[in-house]
This record gives sequence, structure tokens and C-alpha cells, in this order.
Amino acid sequence: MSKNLKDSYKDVEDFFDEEPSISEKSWGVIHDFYHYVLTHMEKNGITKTDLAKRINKSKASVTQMFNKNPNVSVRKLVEIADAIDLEISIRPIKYEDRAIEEIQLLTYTTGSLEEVKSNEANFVNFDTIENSYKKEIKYSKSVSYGQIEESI
Amino acid sequence: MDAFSSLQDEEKKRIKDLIKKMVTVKDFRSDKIKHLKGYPFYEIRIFPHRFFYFQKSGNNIIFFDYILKKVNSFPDKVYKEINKKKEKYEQEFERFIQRR
Repeated sequence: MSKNLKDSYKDVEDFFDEEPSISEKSWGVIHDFYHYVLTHMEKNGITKTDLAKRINKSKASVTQMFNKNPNVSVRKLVEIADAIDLEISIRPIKYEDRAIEEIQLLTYTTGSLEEVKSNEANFVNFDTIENSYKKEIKYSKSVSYGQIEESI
Repeated sequence: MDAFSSLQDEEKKRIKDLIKKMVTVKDFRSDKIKHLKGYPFYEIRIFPHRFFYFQKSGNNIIFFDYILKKVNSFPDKVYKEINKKKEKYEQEFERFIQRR
């Protein structure tokens, strides 16, 4: 294994290995929320224009709303969900609830294309998959409170 | 990796969590993940950062380009150039898969 590759592995590992901060966990909640909203809208044929009408805002402000930082209010989250008939609740989650079986492989490339070509292993194979798996479980557990889940 | 490392702290946390979600949540949806019609790759667009990736052979996610630019859209020739790069990376990745 070349030194370059070792460094690449370490960079990727270090990047994902850091303990998630409050800010990162907050982004996690926001990302989850919009994932549910967008999935629900897609399934039910609701456009952003429809959503804008339902909450009395312009389409531009809806787009801007989707860019919100993690400090978006709970009231706003509920307002958005309510406008598309999506019931949300906050409850602790177990890692089994996550669709982690979907993880198969995460591959990263690092360095320039020339470096990649000269070194096949520069495709940093997340053998790391397994590590990532474990990290995600750890991560899921650590965010158990405050995780927004779609109500069934 | 340099592109990730050089991000401002908050952006780094946001993108890091987004990537985690991409690989752990089935059919993960985000307004930050864009797919340009006519091009076989995706971009994570967190203004002004753009990370380009494609998915291959199942859940292999290959990041192959990054652009820092304070514009909303690029002329088509930029995407064509990005696509050329993507094709080269894809070929290399296919060879990588075959060797394994």
C-alpha cells in the first residue's frame, strides 16, 4: 500500500470518524425532515408551487426555506408538514429502524485523475464500508433523541 | 478530500451528514442533491460548493469533481467537460471492479 493511499484512507476515515457535534446532529434532523417531506410530496404529486400556495408563500421563499440552517423552528417544521398532510412526531429511534442494509459500499476517489490512473487503489474502497456501518450505528444511537420520524 | 477538508466548519458538518444519509437511507431525497437532465451524474450543491458524483454497480458512490463558484448555473460546456471527466473516472472504476 503506498503512503499516498494510506494518507487517503486516513483522511476519509478521520473525516467520518469524528464524533458528531450538536450542529452535525441538527443537520441530521433537518436532512431527515426534508427527506420525508420531499418523498411524501413526490409520492403524492405535490409540487413546490403547491406547497407554496398551501402555506401562503412564494415558490422562491419555499426554495429558500429548504435551505434553512438547523435553527428552523419546530413551528415551521410542523407548518410545512401539515400543509402536505404529513404527520410528524419526535421519538427515539433504534438503529434497527434505519435502512442500513442498504449500505453496500461507499467508494471515494481522492487526488487527481492522473493519480487515480497511476494507482488503482486510489479508489478508496470503504472497507470502511464495515467501519462506516459501525460508525453509523454509533451515530444513530447517539442521535436517538430528537430524531424526527414519519408517523405511521 | 481536500475539498471537504477546506470547507467552513458548518458546511463541512452539513455535507458530512448529507453523505452519511445518502449511504444509509434508501432513496434519500434532498433539495441539495441535483440531477441535471441529460447528464449521468449528480451534484451536491451547497452554495457555493458543488461536489459531483455518480453511482455505479449498486451503491458505489464515486465523487469525481468539485467546483467552488458563486454562480447558480454553468454554461453547458462546463457540464460537458465535467461529463468527460466522469466518463474517464467511470472507465477507471470499471477496471477497478473487474480487478477485484
